[in-house]
Amino acid sequence: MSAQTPEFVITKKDLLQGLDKALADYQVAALTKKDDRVLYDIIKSPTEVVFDYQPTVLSPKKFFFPQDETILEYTADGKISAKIEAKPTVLFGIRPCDLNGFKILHEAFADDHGDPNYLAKVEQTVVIGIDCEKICDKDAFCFKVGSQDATGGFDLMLYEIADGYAIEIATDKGSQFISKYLTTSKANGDEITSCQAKKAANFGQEKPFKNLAKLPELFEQNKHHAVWDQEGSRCLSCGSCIMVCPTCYCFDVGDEWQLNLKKGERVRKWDACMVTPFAAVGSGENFRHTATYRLHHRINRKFNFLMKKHNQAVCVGCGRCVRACLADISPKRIAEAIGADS
Amino acid sequence: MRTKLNLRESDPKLYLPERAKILKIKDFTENEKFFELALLDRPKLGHVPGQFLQVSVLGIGEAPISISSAPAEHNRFDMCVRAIGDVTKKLHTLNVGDIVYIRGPFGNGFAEKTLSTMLGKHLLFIVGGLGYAPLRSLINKVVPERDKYKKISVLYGCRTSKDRMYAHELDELSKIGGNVELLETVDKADENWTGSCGVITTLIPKIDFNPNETIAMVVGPPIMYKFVLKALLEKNMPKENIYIDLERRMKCGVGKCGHCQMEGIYVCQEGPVFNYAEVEKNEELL
Amino acid sequence: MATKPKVAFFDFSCCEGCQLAAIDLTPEQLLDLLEVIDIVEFREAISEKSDSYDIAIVEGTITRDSDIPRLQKIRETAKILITLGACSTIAGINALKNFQTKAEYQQDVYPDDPTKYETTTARAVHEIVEVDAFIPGCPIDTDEFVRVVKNLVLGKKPDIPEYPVCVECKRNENVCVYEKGIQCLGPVTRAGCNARCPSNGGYCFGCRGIIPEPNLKSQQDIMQRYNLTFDQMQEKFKLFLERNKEVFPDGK
Repeated sequence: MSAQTPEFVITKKDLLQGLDKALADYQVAALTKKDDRVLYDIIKSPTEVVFDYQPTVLSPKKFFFPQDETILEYTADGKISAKIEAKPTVLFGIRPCDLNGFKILHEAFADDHGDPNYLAKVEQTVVIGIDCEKICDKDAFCFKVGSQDATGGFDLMLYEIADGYAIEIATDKGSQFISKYLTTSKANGDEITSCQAKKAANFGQEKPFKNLAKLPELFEQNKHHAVWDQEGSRCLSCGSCIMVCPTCYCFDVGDEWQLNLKKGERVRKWDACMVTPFAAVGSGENFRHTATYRLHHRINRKFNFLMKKHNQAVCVGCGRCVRACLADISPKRIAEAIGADS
Repeated sequence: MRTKLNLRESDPKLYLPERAKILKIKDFTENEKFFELALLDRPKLGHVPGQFLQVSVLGIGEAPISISSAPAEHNRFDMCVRAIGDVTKKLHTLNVGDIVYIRGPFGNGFAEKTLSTMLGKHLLFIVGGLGYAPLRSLINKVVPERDKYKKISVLYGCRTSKDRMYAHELDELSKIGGNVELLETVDKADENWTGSCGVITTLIPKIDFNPNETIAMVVGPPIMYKFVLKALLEKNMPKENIYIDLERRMKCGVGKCGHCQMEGIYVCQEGPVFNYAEVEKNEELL
Repeated sequence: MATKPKVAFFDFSCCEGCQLAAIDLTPEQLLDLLEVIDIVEFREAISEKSDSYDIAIVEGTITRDSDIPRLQKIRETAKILITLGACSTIAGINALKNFQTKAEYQQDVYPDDPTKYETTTARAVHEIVEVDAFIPGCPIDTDEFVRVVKNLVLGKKPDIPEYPVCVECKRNENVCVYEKGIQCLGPVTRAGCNARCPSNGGYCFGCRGIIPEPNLKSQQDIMQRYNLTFDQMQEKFKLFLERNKEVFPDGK
């Protein structure tokens, strides 16, 4: 990755003050603590922000593509209207894996047939990323799939320096956010380069799959590799891997009248290609009737089918599915089994 | 250069259906009904043969249903609905004058480019059961223009004679003569049936065709494809000359929700009509 | 709605908690519900009795031979029969006694007069008569009850999820209870409760029954990996799942 030149630096104190100021105009979501969990959630004060990253259960895709979302409202007498909701939002402290996830989500929802519910939220959201200085967790493998650096998906990117952050500006929206809310000073210009040198040292020998670019081909050639059944036979078809994935975006749509049958709505909700009924049709046929087929489909979406479309691995290596899988199934291990690294 | 979350164009009506009024309902079989509908807010549907609609009954849901009529310059169109899920069962309880909501047309059908490759060729339709509904949109387009084609053969197979859809249209089709022929078979004959009995592939040897000059259109229940494709390939039909039309669980219609994705292919976008040569390696499709 | 369907509630062996959960509604919701259906028999809320009804909602386990003709009569009268709660849907905790012999549980419960009360193997309603819709759970989820009734009135499928509790648990962004060293039946248990127990500091007991096509082998491997002995694991499965032939192939 070519070095980015920061224009500004900001002290941590000024950054927190800026977020506080932004709270007047935006809902701010950041990494925060709730009971025994660390998660991305709406905060009321910048003091709630957790800076020391720990992997969260869900990715911040939930702010663009919520678990449940009403997309249509109607009445018994036939009035029908699209329901599109969005609030001015700041997503603060999003990490490179999830930023790459945003980029993929964006291409999926907006490249053709621009999804109005998704785009309304993107339009109103300022995304502020924070670069990762080190590998966050033993299950993370961002470095294997070329996702340890964010290639997009943010308006501003922060790089940790002594007493604060260097700021990379990616969009006009980001630059307007700085001028309205953040007190900054001019950067020397070499801050990001030194952050990246430090990061490279921390990541050490952890390098991308040797055959990263060739994964679609490898997966195509290995449709019937023994690994599918080895891993698939353990799969519980529980859908956990999909719920936690930053780049899974399948959904189901259902209609519901209110109990008085006078008003109704159409709701889309997260669905999971790993659960048994996902590919079943009305006549009863299920086109992916075993866990092995379903696992093959999901992993191929990440490294083959959709990788061709997005020109990058659609798995961003955040490791959430590995942590969530009780049966210990890992996309990384599957990729390695079919020769990603040999 | 960074990839930005720059704003692409939003389609505010992507999930907003439009009104269509039921003009006519006919019972076809115990489980299938014919509907003629009229758009209320647009002059015409603007579809190509083989495309489908997402049809809503408010409060019940949305279901993908093939357009059964040929492209037309007016606001009317046909569908044939088998009562199988919540939406289709509810559609069967509706009456003339009732409003349903539709989105679409969606998908890849027999577009102008494909249709032009058919000119002067022998068109061979191989249809099982409810498959007549989507293919009727093409049959009813090409039959009135039959002089443009070398020959039109329609092979139609049903479980019993009671399951024949569009029975009176089939009778008319059989009377046209000239370069149009209809061959029918049923899996199980009853006292009202004097025609052939057997699976659809038994009709293929009865047709005289030059595989290189023939284009086959195959639509039917999932189990049918394997046998029909095998029979056609044994007759040396080039794979490029075979089109198949497939049913999957299309939910959003716009290539996002993932339900109809078979390996890398979104059936709602790249299908439901496929050229066999382009998808023969896709194990989930076939 | 031209005519409102008449709904009658019936109970067999149970605590009747699901009947209470069914009407745990706001007054507005209750009035709305009564706009859609006519409740003609409901021991927990009204005293009338009726012999004419369209929808029978049956709660409780079948634990006596004399229950059977009563249940058959209900089935004959009703157009639609719905089970309410774990006891009628999967025989629930009442089926725990099936792990003992009749003599053993009679002796355990009434040591002074073991044969005083009629009793037999506990069974779910669908083992005796045909069931049109199941509302699982111990207790049921009120929202799900309302949705199923509404769907049936509208001619829709009941729409009980076929995926496991994990889906809802993850949507709620819970840390997996296994990470806290607690074993849970969420991966094989039917969702629809919004992961009620694991979201509130508990774990899944399997009260909603097992999903279609469960991977029980993998579930057992996981429990063993998390340090449960085979017997401890059986105990977890026993509470609600005695009638499930996939879990207990040798059950009564």
